[in-house]
Amino acid sequence: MDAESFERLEKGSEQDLRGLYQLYFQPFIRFIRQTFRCTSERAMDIYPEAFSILYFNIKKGKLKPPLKSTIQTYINSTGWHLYHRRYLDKYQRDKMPMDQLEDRFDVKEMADTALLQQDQAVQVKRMLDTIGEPCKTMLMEIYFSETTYKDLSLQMNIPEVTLRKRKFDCLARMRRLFDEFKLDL
Amino acid sequence: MQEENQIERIEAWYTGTLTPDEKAVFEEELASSQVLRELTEKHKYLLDGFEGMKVQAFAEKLRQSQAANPVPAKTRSLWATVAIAASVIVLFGIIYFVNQPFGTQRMASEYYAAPLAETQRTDTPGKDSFFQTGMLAFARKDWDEAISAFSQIEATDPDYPRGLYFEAHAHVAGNNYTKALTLFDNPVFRNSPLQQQAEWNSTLMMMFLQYPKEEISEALLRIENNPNHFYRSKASEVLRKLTTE
Repeated sequence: MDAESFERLEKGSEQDLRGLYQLYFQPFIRFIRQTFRCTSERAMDIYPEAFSILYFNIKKGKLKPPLKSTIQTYINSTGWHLYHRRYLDKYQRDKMPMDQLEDRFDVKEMADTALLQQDQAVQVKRMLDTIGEPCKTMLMEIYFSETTYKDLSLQMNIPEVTLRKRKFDCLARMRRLFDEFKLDL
Repeated sequence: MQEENQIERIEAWYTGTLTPDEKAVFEEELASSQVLRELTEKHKYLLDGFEGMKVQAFAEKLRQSQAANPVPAKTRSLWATVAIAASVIVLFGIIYFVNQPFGTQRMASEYYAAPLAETQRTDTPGKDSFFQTGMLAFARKDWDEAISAFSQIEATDPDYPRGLYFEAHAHVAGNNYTKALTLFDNPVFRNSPLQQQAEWNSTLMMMFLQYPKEEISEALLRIENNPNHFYRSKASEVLRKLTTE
């Protein structure tokens, strides 16, 4: 069943995705509520993110079969890490160490990366706002919407060669902001 | 131009599209060139940031869809609607005659039965040794050892669902009903030979944990409403007791 779900997550339609989203929902809410003694609302707030992280890791080929655990356990554990990091203070975190989570696989790295990328997303958005248009739209189209150079050159009505050159110029401007933003690499 | 080429190599490295040879060369250069290292770190930061945005945007889309169509979105037949309406009436009755605080716990102890350890399989050598170790420990009532062994069975092992089921019972023996409930709720049991046992035991765990009576009754009604459920009569009995006690 999990192999089939994995395939549906990897290649499935939006309807498949919706079905899986519903399938793992209730056990996830129950798991988070029981573990953290929190409200359903808070657990429901975490769920889309935990599901998205797993989905992107499968889509990008970072998570491949054979899985070391069930997909439900992956989602639950990802949610555990998100909740642990986001809602607990240091005292609470110490009282609820990682070893309480009976992972049979290393989901921590996946959650850590996702949380780090969220912080980086905030900074990249700031940088894009700083460099402004037309770089902002161009970089968002290329790296966020994954629009091909061909489509984008038609959309912007500029040759692909020029588009690429402008992209590299924009990236260079972004890199120059690292010092100004005092970003840790 | 040099920098542009490097950016393209970094992106290919980041997305895993370099050949093994190209990857080895790139990583060798990365180790020796401070300039390339700095360029890679910065560009990777930007690419990670865009990845973060994608995940956030997708999660936000799901969140909005969840708000618009609360999960689980169920389509109900007329029969189901009538059954639910009838259940609601029963449910109100149950809530009205609600038991004293420890009533459901006591009832759960009455109905809970641990399975017998399957030690007859322990002469099978080889791949299912964690299963065997777990079963022997389960038979000895060494719950910690049983949990430790069962939890090491790989998800791909055919014995995984059975090990998980016994692991849950070992948690019950150690009074860790929360963990047991999580395990009984595992989707691996769906459409498996252990589905009905897992459903029944999951309901008992909710009773041990003194879940709200409404939730317990809903779970019992789900079992009662399944004419082929092995635990149907027991669920009816518990429901009756909940209403009459």
